Amino acid sequence: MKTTGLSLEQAPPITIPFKFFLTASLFVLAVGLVLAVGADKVFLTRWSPLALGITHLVTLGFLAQVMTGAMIQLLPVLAGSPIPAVVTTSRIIHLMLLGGTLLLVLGFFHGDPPLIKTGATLSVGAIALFLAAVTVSLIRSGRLHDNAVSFGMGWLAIIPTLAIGIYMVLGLDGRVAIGDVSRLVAVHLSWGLLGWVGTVLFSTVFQLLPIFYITEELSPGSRDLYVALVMLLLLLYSLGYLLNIEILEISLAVIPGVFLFLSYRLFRSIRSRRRKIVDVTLLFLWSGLAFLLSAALAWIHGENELLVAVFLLAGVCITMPIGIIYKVIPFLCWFHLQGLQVKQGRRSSRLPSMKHYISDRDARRHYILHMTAILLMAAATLMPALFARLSGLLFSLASLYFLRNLLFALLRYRAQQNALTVEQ
Amino acid sequence: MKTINDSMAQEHRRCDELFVEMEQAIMQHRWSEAERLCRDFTVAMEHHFKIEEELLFPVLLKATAEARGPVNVMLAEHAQMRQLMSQLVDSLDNMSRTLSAGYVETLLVTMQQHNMKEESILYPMADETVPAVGDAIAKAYSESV
Repeated sequence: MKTTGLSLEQAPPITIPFKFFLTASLFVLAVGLVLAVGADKVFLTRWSPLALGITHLVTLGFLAQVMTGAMIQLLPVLAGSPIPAVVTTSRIIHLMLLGGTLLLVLGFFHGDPPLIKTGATLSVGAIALFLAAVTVSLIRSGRLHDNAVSFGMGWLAIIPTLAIGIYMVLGLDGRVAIGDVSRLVAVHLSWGLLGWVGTVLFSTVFQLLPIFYITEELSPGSRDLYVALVMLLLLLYSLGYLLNIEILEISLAVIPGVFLFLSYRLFRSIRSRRRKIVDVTLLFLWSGLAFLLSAALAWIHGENELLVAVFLLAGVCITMPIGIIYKVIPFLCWFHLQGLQVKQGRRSSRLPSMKHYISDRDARRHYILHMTAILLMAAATLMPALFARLSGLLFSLASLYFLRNLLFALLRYRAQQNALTVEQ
Repeated sequence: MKTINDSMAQEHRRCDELFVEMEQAIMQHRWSEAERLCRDFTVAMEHHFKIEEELLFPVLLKATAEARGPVNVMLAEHAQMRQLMSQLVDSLDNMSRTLSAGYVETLLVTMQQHNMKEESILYPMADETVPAVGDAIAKAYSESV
C-alpha cells in the first residue's frame, strides 16, 4: 500500500487546470460563433457538417479538455498518486487534444478527409496517452478511493467511442466497409455521450454533491450499479448492431428511463441537502439536471432529435462542468497560495477567501446569459429562422463572460502570488 | 466493535452538522447566534484535531513508516483549517456576511476534501495497523459528550 501520495507537493501545479479549463472555454466560444455564423444550416439536420463539427467542439474541445484536466488534478486524491511526469505529460496531452480537435472540426466543416484523419489521430493519441498515464498512476497506487471503479468504467467507455471513430475515418477512403453509416454513428455517439460523458460526469457529481452541499452520500453500490447498468445497455446495443440482432438494439430505449431516474435521484439529493444555500454552482448543477430530465422526455417523445442534442450537449454536457469549475478554480487558487505561504514559513499572513477569485456576482451574470442562450437554442430547433442566430450570438457572449471570469481568477491569483513573493 | 474509521467519520458528520447551523445563522444575519454556533463548531473541530494529533497519529507513526507522508499532510491541513477558523471568527466580529461567507465556503471545501482523504486512506490504514487504538478514541469521544 503506497500512501505517500497524499503529500501537498503531489497536487499538480495550478497552471495545469487553468490551461485545460481556459482552452475548454475557448471551445465553447467557438460553438457560439459557429452557431451565429452558420445559423441557418446548423439546425437543418444533425447530419450537417456544421452540426458534426459543433458536436466535436463540445465533446472533444470542451468536455475532453475539462475531464482530462480535472482527472489529472483529482488523481492524487482518488488514487493517492499523480500521473507520471505530470507537467510534461499534461502539456503533451493538452496540445495534442487542442490541435487534434481543431483539425478534426475544420475537416468536418470543409469536408476534407486528410484534415479529419490528422485531427482524429492526434485526438486519439492524446486520449490514449492520458489513459496510459492514468493506468501507470493506478498501478503505482495500491489503494483506490471507492469511487475509482465508476470513474474507471466511465473512462473505459471512451475506448469503443474512439475505436469506432477511427473505423469511420478509415472508411473515408474505402479501406474498410462501413455499411449503414447512420447506425454506426449511433453506436459511436452512444458510447461517447452516454457511456463516457454520462458516467464520468455523473460519477463526479456523485462525488462532489456531498462535499459541496453536505447531501447524503450515494452508496458506492448504487453509484457502481448506475455505471454498470449504462455499460450493460450499451454493450447489448452494440452486440445488437454487430450481430444484426434487432431485439438487442432496443436496449438503448431504456437509457432515457435511466436518465429520468438519475435526475429524480439527484434532485431529491439536492433538495434534502443539509446546507441550504443556493449558490451559482448549485444553479448550474440543478439546471443541468433539469436539462437531463428534458432530454429524456424529448427522447421518449421522439420527434425532435436536434432538441435532444441541444439539451444533452449544451444543457447537460456544458452546463454541469461549468458549475463545477466555478467551485474548483477558486478553491485551487486559495489552496495553492496557502501552500506557497506555508512553504515560506509565514502562516500568520491573511489570504483572501476563495470567493475573491471569482465573485458570486460575475458567476451569476454568466449563468443568466448561459441559460438564456440555451433556451434560445432549444427554441431554434423548432423555429431556426427566428432563434438560431440570436442563440449563437448570446451563447458567444455567455462564453466570453466565462472566459473573462476564468482569466480574472488567473490574474487575481497572480496578483496574490506576487504580493506573497514581494512581502517575503 | 466500532472501527477507528466509524468513530472518526461519525465525528466528521457531527462537525458538519455544527457547521451547517453556523452557516445558516450567518446567512440570516443572526450575528450573536452565529458567534455562539461558531464557538461550538471550533470547539468540536479542535477536539477532533486533538484526538488525531495526540492519540491517533503518534501511535500510527510508531507502527508504520508509511504513515509519515499522509500524517504530515493531515497536520498541514489542520493548520489551514485553524487559520480559516480564526479568519472566520474575525469576520464575524465585523458582521460582514460577504466576508464570512467566503471563509465559510473555503473552510467547507477544505474540510470535506480533508475528511475524504482521511476516511478513504488514513483511517483504513489505522484500522489495519493499529486497530487497538479504536477503544481509546471511542473513550475520548464518549468523555467529551
